[in-house]
Amino acid sequence: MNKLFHSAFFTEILKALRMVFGHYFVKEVTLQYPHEKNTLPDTHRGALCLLRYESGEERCVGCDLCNAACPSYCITVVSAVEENDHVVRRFATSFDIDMTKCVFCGFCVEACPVNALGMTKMYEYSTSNKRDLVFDKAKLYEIGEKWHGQAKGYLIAHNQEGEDETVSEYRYRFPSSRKQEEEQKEEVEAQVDG
Amino acid sequence: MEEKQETADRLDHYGEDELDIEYVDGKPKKRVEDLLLNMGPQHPSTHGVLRIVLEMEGEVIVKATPYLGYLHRGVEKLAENSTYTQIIPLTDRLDYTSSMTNNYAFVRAVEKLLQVEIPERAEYIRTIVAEMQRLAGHLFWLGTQALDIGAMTVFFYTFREREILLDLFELICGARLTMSYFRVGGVDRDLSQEVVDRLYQFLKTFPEKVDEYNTLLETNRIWVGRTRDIAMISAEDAVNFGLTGPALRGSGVNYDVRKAEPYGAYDKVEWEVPLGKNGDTYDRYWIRVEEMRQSAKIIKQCLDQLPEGLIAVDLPNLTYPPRDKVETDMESLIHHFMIATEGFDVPEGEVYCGTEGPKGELGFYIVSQGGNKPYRLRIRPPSFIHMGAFEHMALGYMIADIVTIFGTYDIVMGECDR
Repeated sequence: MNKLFHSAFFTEILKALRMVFGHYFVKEVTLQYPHEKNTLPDTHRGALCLLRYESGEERCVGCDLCNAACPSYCITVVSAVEENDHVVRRFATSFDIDMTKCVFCGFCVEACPVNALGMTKMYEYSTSNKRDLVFDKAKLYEIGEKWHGQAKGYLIAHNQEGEDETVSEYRYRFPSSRKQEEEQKEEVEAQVDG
Repeated sequence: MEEKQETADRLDHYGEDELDIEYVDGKPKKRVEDLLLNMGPQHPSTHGVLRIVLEMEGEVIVKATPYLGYLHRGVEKLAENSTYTQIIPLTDRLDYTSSMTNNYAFVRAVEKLLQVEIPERAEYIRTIVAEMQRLAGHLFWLGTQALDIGAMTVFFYTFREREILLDLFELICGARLTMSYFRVGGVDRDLSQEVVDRLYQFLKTFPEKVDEYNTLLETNRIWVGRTRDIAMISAEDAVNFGLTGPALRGSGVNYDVRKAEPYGAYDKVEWEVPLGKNGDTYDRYWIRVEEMRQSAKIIKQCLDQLPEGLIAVDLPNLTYPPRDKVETDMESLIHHFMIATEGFDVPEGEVYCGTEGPKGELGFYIVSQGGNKPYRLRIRPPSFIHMGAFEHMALGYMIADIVTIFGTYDIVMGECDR
């Protein structure tokens, strides 16, 4: 009898309609993309860039680790050694990233021993010429200058770099666990001393 | 006679004059033949590039042959030339709707071969992200399956929740779809307090949202009519075909890798395995909805229990050394260079390790001859195994049901063709 009532009066459809009409009074979640943009977190893995030290010196030493770590083989580095007044300096003469191959895994940034590479929140660089997507050294430094804050933010968010010079954190260590360890160490030392 | 001539002229016009046509009383005799229907590879509801050749008798399917391989990228071969760390981004692209569980499955297989123990905090984080991915995967399935069948509103609602989860993934690891979050020996980044807070907030409202989808579908007569008794498979057949995941549990077989061989933090939290009775599409829908509720429960308990500690093992030949030490300590710098250039060495041996993904058991079989690259990597994708049961499930149903039938076991061609 109950079943007959439900099938005769389309109760389940009325219930669903009531729920759907209720959504007219809920704040909409859609973003109208070109006009509205989502705020990206610092961790966002976007286009790559090269960074300089504050003195303006290039960070990259041309060690080729980014190339070795890359799973899609999209980085090409040519390095050189320069000797000036008995000061040896290694640097990259050319540094190309093929953005058409890049999979944005962030392994190169992870591998870089001097934090020369960073990732920005830049994602709107589509072009009609495919060759423009091979970023050379000049272009990468240009991006690095333009989005310096974002690249720094990425490195800090991924525990690659401390927020200031004094802070240095283990990459795979939860900060509080390190504190605990230090406390334990101090305790042990205190006991030994005692 | 005149009539016959007219028919012949018409056939001539269509270029079919060579056909042997028998005439009965001056009219062409009716012929009966099976209709061969090509579905895909460019059909919008084949979930990628799947081609099926259907033999139809009227509207009824008498034979269904899937042709696979349109999305073959040679992942298994590529893996043979990549170090173990470099394979992680490749696994992202297997089942692109659930890259976290793909990462998890691969990383677990390598860890089984290495016999390393993972810190507790890392295990909990892994469980949390894997369950989040299961939620995202099931929401994706529910939305697209309903859309294929004709219920459009559900799609909008499920993608609203999926979007929240993807934003959280971006906050955790930096990407929304291809995460590459797991590392052999742990995970890449720690969960920040913001992630934990937002996840709690999401879980608070999520059960209501599941009820919302159910209001639209559970008793809806069109949904029930289109899913009940469609793509039936008995428990015995399901086991024989090697089905896993919701497709197997829909037939009432109690098998879940998370319960059978607990990993991560699954044995430390309370949850149940939902089981179906009839083994039809409706049961599988019900199971996935129930699994979403269970996943939410697992995440909540894991967040409550989340211990402090390391998020990756502290082994100098497996994980990157401390970042600050790289700049000051010679040995650390050497280790850093060794791991970045050569990866880590894995002992000789063979291992199979299955992990419960949203679609079923995703297994990785690794043959190692020592060194930093696998000799052979074999992937056991649930979608590929489920495709074997496709014809068995499709026979005797109507053409309109075909989309429901391959949607029912949540097929993703990236995983199927590898």
